[in-house]
Amino acid sequence: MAATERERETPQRAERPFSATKAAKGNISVAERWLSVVSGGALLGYGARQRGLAGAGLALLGGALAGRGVSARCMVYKALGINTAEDSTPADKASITVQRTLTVNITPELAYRFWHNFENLPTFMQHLESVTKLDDQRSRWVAKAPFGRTVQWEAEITEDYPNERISWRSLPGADVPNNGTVSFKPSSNGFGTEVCVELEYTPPVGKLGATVAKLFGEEPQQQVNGDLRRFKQLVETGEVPTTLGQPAGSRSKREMPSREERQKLSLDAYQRRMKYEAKRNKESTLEDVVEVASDQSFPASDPPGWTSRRSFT
Amino acid sequence: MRALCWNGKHDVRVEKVPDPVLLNPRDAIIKVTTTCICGSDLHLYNGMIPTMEAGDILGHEFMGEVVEVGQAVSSLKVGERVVVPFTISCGHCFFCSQQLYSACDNSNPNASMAEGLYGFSGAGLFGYSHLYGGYAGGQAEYVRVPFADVGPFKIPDGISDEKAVFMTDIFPTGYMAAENCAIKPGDTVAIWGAGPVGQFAVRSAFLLGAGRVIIIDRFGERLQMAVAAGAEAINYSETKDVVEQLKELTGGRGPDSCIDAVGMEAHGVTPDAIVDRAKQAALLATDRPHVLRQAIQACRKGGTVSVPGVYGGFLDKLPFGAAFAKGLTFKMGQTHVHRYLPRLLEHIQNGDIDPSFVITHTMSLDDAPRGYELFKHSRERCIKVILKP
Repeated sequence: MAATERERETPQRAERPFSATKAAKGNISVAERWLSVVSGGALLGYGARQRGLAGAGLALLGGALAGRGVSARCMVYKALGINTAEDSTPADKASITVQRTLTVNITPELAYRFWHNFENLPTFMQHLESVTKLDDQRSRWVAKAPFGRTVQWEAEITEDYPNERISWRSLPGADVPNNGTVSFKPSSNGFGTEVCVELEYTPPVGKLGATVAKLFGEEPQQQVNGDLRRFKQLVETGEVPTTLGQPAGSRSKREMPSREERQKLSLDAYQRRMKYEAKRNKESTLEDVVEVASDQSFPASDPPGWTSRRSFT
Repeated sequence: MRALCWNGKHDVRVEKVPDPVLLNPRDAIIKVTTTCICGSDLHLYNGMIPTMEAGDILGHEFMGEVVEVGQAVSSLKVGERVVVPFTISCGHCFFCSQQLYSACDNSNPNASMAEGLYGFSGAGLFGYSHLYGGYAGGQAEYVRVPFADVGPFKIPDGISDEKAVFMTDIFPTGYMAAENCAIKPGDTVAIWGAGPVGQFAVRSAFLLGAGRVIIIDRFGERLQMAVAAGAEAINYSETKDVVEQLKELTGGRGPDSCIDAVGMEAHGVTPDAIVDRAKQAALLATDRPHVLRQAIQACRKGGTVSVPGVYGGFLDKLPFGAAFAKGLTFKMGQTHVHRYLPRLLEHIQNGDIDPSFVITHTMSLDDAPRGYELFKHSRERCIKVILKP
């Protein structure tokens, strides 16, 4: 009886060429392995029919693709630290946690006030389109997603310790369930505030989504790093440094605003200069400087740090 | 406007490009009246610096007239003549407030790139690759200057461009190199590299109280220029052993401090220099620390090695054991230009130094490619080229 049971078991396992056990040892998911084998085989056949170096190259590439599909191991993935095999079941929605700390030259009070008004967040969090306050606890967030889409969710504040910590979490029904905490601590050397952001979220396509994002430079950790850096730049200097729109030689592949946009920028600049000249002709006081600065500052009620006169001694 | 654009290794061309516009409230537009070619520009010209892209505008030593100011700049008026430090500093981060202006946290839009390579990003620089922000540089007719309420420094009438323009980079660089040596009155300072930075380091060392300055190079005209300021010269292509000769010249003790004003593209005639070159050609090494090795070996025990010379990557075969055994102090880094400007202007106004001594060639911006060639090969006794757009 035991022997027939075993016999019945083995043909079933042999029928499925890509068994779950083999996939468990490799770093490529089952679906992807099939894709690799099929596309690799096609490329191999095509390349073999072509003549010359290009054909040999294609055949080699096809062979490599097919090989990684069969063996379930990909050297490139290993080097990048990607493992799609863990994502082999659709129900597997692993959550991602990112954290980053940065010391910023403002008081914990100012930092807390700035963050507490969640509508400020899109000014430095590039992936957020808008945050709208619904009431004291709840807000609606809209974020950019790949391929020009948006995702949105409602969130509520779960912890609110003034000048120390704010925690929030998305409400049920969110496209992307997430929760986060920002904490503020006076810096140990007395200069500024340590701002620590922790975010946990469950991306819609699980780990594979985050993997693709990593390859295209929008990995969650990088995003948080960039967001915090922009926050620091905004509150310390009043602006985010940029070179978009600066001149470059004819062979530059850099994105440039259109001629109309640049003309408009120039016209704006000319108008600003005329306005500035007119203002300069009057007596210029510190109050005028603060007034101009406050137009650009966050939070709007306080003058930005950079209006202080710094003497070079 | 016309601007000098980098298009590849040994390929710089003057091209017609759009005029710069204000991009941020604290920007200003400067009309360039004088600009220079720097020794560091040669690293770009030789393709040694990564993240350069075709079409990048070069130039980080420039001065000129303010023609436009951003909404949030009140310290500058249109028409004022300013020198612009080559490091772009925000003025309000931790580092700027400590006067470490070249370590500014906030002026590099590509900070994440630099962080990947160096762990932290320093200040953005004009015209010095995308690793340092990709800012369009000053070898052009106009430049957009960010944080114009922090950088641009007003030059009074009566001081010509030729006297003032080197305050943008090489004068403060040579001065900081000398200051980093912690010179006590009567000290002996040895300086490798008699290029423009070395020349200013020689004069700065004397201004700071050095008793003797020994300059090391192989080009006669450069050694002569340093000797004219009171230095003693060693021509390393004629000397058997530079380190031994320095020992002899200093009564067997070694110089009190050593300045490496050469950096990563060191040229030498000894076996270690040849191995450096071979390794670099085989892509096994990034930098050639030939001069740094000599400086470490020559410096007296307890002395200081000051490094204004630019390094980019990793060093091989550095005698760190010798450095440890001798208890050396190393000081280095990009210049904190803003820190020195008032002091240096005072020296110029007092007549302590006339920086225009270093100019050997003046040409129009359109001749800049020829200027790069002359400077790279030290032809026609070229030491410093300035350009008039």
